[in-house]
Amino acid sequence: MPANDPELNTALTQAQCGDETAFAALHRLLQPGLLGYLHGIVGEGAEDIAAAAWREIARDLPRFRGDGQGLRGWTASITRRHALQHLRRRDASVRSAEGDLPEVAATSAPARVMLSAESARAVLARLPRPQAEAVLLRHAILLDERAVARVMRRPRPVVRVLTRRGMGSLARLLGSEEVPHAVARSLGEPR
Amino acid sequence: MKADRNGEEALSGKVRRYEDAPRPSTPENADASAGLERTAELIAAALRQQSLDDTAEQAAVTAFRDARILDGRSPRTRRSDDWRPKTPRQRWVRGGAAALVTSALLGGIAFASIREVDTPPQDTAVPGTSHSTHQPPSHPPSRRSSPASEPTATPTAAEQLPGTPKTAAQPPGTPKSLKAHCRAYERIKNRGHALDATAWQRLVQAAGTEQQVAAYCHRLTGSADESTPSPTQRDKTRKGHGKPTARAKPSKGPADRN
Repeated sequence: MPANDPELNTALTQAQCGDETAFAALHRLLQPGLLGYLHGIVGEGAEDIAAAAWREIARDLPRFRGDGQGLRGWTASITRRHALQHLRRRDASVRSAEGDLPEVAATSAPARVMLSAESARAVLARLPRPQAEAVLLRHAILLDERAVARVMRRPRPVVRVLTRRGMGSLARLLGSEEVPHAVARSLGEPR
Repeated sequence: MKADRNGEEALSGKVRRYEDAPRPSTPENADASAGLERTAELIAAALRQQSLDDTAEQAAVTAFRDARILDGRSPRTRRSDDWRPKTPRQRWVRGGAAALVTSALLGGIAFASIREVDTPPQDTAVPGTSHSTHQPPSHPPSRRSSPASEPTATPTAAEQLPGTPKTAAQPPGTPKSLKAHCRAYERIKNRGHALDATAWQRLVQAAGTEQQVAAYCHRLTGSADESTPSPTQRDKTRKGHGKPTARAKPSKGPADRN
């Protein structure tokens, strides 16, 4: 979350000076977002890709220049490169059947609306990859639009449209029982 | 839902800024986009909530330690590693550099085109002011020897216009600029106050007195025409030229057409 950016900044500064505990703190702060992105984009093998990405991050951290928010973008672009390599290899091999993705089965907690990770992954798998990527970079890794555009190497207006379409598709796929009332209302209304 | 939304806006303002770009005009639209954001955040939260294992963290830290051991010095920062936010100063510098390059380019083109246009008329202007048929030059080879006869011309000619030193074949004292002044004098002697200028003063200095200017110019341009083989086609421009008493005061010019 941007709320812990001061923490991230401190950890980054110390880690760049060689502090291992600070690097561990960086890992704790950044790994959930990166793993969420990887789970949404590649599904199986996300942990392996994350490990490879972190090896590169650990090696190249002295090269990095920027603050905590910049570090999110930098780590995201490294992770994305590994993810795309993985996807290319996987696409080159036998294309896995798409039917084995679990159906959208929401496990809605009574107190608050919460999706299971599998459901979220299943929903994201139905999106075109750029849309899913834009949504995930934006909301899982918590990048701003400029950083998403830089990570995806696309112009900002394109990223904006991708994000909006991706979110619209997500809302449509999730259906009215899972989304908040505002989404349901917006889906019911003619565009 | 409203309370939920407000709370999240406070939490993640950066992520929500995008919402301002589309049309936030109607409350329905705002509600809808907020709902969409909420959906996306639900998905993202579901993906982020996965438990982290310590082995991954340990592996990362080990990789970090190994990298530190392997190379102690800090490597060069590539462009893809620079995620510093762009400061306004950087933007100014970039904009200034772009403006500089653009203006240099346009200025160069403009300058080149000026030279291009100017060069042919200069070639034709020399025979236009020729007086070789009117009065043969008193000493045709005076091109080289003329600077010796006017000692005052040497320092003045040295500080002349930038076009002067380009003719390296001539000695530095050759009053080519004085020749140019003579030609200009032919054209403008009856008009305005141009002859009051410093260049005119230099010409007078070089000629000796004001009355000798015409004869002096005769000599100069006449000898120049000798060296250039171009024929004298426009002799009628000579009409007002023969008067030896050319005046600096334009009001006294008899052929005043202005």
